[in-house]
Amino acid sequence: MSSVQADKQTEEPLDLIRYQLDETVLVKLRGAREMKGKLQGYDSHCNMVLSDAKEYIYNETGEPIVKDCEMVFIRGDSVILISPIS
Amino acid sequence: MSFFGFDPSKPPQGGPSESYDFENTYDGLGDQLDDADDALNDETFGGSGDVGKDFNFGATKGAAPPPPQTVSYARAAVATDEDFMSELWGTAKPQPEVSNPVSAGEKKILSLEEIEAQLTAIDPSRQPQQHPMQPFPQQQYGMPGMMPMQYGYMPPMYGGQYPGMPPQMMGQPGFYGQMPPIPGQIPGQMPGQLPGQLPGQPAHGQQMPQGQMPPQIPHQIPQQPPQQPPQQPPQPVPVQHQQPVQAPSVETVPEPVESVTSIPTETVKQGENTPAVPLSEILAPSTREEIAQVASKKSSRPVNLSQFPVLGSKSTPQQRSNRPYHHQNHHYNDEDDDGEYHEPLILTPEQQIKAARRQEKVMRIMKYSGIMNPKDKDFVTRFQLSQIVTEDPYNEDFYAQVFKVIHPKPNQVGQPQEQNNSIAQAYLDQSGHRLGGRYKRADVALQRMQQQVQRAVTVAKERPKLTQYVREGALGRISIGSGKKPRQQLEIFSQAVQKGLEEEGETGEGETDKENKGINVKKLNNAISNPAINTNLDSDSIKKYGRKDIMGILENIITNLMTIESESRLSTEVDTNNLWESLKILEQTSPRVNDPKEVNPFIQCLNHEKALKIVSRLFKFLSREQILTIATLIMSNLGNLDVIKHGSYTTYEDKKVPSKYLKLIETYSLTFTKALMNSVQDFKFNEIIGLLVILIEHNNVSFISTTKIGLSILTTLLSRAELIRGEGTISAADLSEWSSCYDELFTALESRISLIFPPNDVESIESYVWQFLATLALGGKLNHQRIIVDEVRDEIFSVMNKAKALDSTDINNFYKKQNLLNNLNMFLVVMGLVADENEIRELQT
Amino acid sequence: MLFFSFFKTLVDQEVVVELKNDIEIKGVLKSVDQYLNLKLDNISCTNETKYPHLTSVKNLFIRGSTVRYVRINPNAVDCTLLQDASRREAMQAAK
Repeated sequence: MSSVQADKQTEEPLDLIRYQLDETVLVKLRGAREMKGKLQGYDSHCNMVLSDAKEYIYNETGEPIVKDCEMVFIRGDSVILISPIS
Repeated sequence: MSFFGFDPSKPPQGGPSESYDFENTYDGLGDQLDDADDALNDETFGGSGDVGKDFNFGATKGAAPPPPQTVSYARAAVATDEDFMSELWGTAKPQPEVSNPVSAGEKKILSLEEIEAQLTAIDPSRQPQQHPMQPFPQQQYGMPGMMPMQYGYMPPMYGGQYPGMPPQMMGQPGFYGQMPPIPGQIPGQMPGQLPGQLPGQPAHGQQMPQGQMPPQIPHQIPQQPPQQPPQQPPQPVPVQHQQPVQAPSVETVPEPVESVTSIPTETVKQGENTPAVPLSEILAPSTREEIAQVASKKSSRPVNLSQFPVLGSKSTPQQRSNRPYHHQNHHYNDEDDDGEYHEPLILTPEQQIKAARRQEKVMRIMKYSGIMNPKDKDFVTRFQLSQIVTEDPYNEDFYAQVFKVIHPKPNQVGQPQEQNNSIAQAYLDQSGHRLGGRYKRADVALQRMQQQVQRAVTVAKERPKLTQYVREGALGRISIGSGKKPRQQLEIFSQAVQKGLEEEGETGEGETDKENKGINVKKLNNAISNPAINTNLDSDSIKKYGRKDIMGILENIITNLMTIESESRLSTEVDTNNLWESLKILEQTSPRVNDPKEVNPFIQCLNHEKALKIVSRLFKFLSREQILTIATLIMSNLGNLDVIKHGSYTTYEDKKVPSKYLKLIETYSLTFTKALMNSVQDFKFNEIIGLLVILIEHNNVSFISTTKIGLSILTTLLSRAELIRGEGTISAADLSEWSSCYDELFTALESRISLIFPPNDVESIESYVWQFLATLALGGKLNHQRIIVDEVRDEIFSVMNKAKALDSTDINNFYKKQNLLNNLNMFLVVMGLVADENEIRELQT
Repeated sequence: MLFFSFFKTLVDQEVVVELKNDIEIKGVLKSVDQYLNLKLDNISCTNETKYPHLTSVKNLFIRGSTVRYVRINPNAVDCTLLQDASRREAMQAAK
């Protein structure tokens, strides 16, 4: 992908999160949960605030439970991964 | 509070419910408490009789210290003001435990009596000890001083000592005892008071209950010479701390410990952090004095110091000394104390004088005790801590600070944010972030564009118009055939049609790559509108920017911008080179690309909302030329913008732009369009012409005109040009250039003008469309206007019919109707016409 | 410190705290500290039938580490400011 800036030396993992500010992200969480929403804020603990978020709670059977939330703070210690979605 | 074993000690002490009940303690404290205490003491300490009095408050470094403070405070307070005491009791929550002991001590009467008793009772040997003790007290004071500062109360003796004392000291059971030994180091600063206390405490070990710390300090103290002058300051203290000598005093220490407990964390910290000496020095005076006062007042015998020498004989003197404190500490000692205290103490004149002096000092100090209740102190402490956390609280607390300014709470208690306000305000002024924020103002940009168009219309009307010839046939019966470059028109016309056809054809056929129709259209546009430009670019020199690259570039821009914004708060001279470089405006400016990733990165950035939100902030730090450069880049790359590429209903089967892009378009209207509007004000006539020419050359104007943003940009440029033209200061050369530019634009649009009306527009309020038509008509000659009217005649009548269909009795519909007609008339007025829902008439001027 | 700062602006706002044990507590945020421990007033359990433990509790202290989510009134958040604050924090961390 980044054919241009592959040489960007000082790119840290958290920078990838920064790039997603004001963009939609997928956050995978402990407890078989995922949250999609627009990233409004984060810190180095992966604490985050998402807007217009959809939470997906997965269980063994069938479709995940989906919950909507306009604005939610996610505590970082539940976070497994953060991924951009376009 | 009771971290360090205070609790353990408590039960023994507090065993009696009295300890907790202030009232109880206050009243009958002394005797009752003493009894109970003694019993408890035995339990805790193992029943060493002597130990009882010696409580080494210090011994329990951590826990013990706090209680002592309270006690000391309380005493001090009592000495000065009863109210103060009561307040303390009532308010001080953490101290309750301590309070018990304190309460005992509190009773003025008791304390006085006790002190007196102590003084009197103090054996000569004890007295000497006391003297040594005094020195300690001083230290303690010093320490306490710290505490007091925090708490506001000066723990008369113990508290002061403990806090001030280094952890070791604190921990050591017999503070005082220790002190005495050290006395040499610490002159009998505390003499009067300490002595009393020390003596009072018979059994060092016993008292120590808290004594977790006790053993630390060997009983060296006793050995120490009583010689130490009471007043001599803490200087020695440091040494003391170092020296285990204090240990001997351990016995006495217990009391201090208690005080420590009362002053929980803070005390402990102090003790740990601060070398006993410094603190003691600083605070020592006051605390010492206090202690002295208490002692002196009550027993007026502070002089006992003379007995210091006795210190060497640890037990008795210490015990006594402790006594006074004991109250606080505990009744355990009291018993012993009582006996001892009762013994009459005789002060030498010297001592009396000293005592008086101390009293004075204490009084002075005490005058201010109790002004703050524990809550106040807690607040101050927290506030101070919050300020200390960072040297730059504004930075650390940026969000909250700025947020409070932006969204003030009416009921918010006045807070010391005054200074920050200005910073936050500066931030707001510069960032203007509210426009891009969640709380959007009215559609400022479009309103302003409308105003500009209206102004242009007004200006134009004041000029002699061709339109007057045409009024009659405005709606179709064209009487004058102008033929402005008929041949040319035809050529271009056919070309335009061809473009359209090709465009539609290609968009319809799915290409093999993933690119969507919009991109196809864009490529088509490029290919068609730039036939002269060779498409075979050197692929090696072309960079491809992935999404991550773009996001990185964009964040880099924003970071640079924020840096500059914060710099500009400090100085007016700001280096914007970094910012400009990071925009990458001059990279790969060619609008013709084979891969959307090859598009200029800044243009790609503009596909993200966060870039749009900063456009106006960005422009604040760019020069006119730089902005013009950006505008030029954008004009040539319009087709590469998502809002254009995906913003035309013509590329969708249902003739509707997906909501995903509608949102982006909305953001554009609020941000980019506004910034462009502002910038255009600074552009010169020929620059605007240049932008238009570039736009026409590099884009399919007809396609762009079917997008809201594209049309807005055209309107902005045209209306601005029209305004400048209205000023009448345009050179002939510029005018002719303008004329040919307009012709080119018009021919690109001709025959497709009606397409600018998006179908399925439920609201039917296409004000921006009518604004564009008005502007277009303004710039055109009679034949242009005729063609425009001819092409949009259906739309005109459609609007009139819609207006007519609306029931004006409904207030909402009434406004809607007015809106429809107003929009329509903005256009018609240019030609001297005005419409209502029934007919079109000539404009009466 | 960003979210400490953030939550300070939410004091006196109603929030819904979802704990890691699935209990959801609605209440007025009364205070917060740097560990993001929270103090809530006037609380109610949104899933009370499932977790009746707190029926009689009116206010409580929540250890920050037990929090999974805090749902917030979107009108109480200034998104642009929060984004900028996040960037500032990142910048400072990078220094």
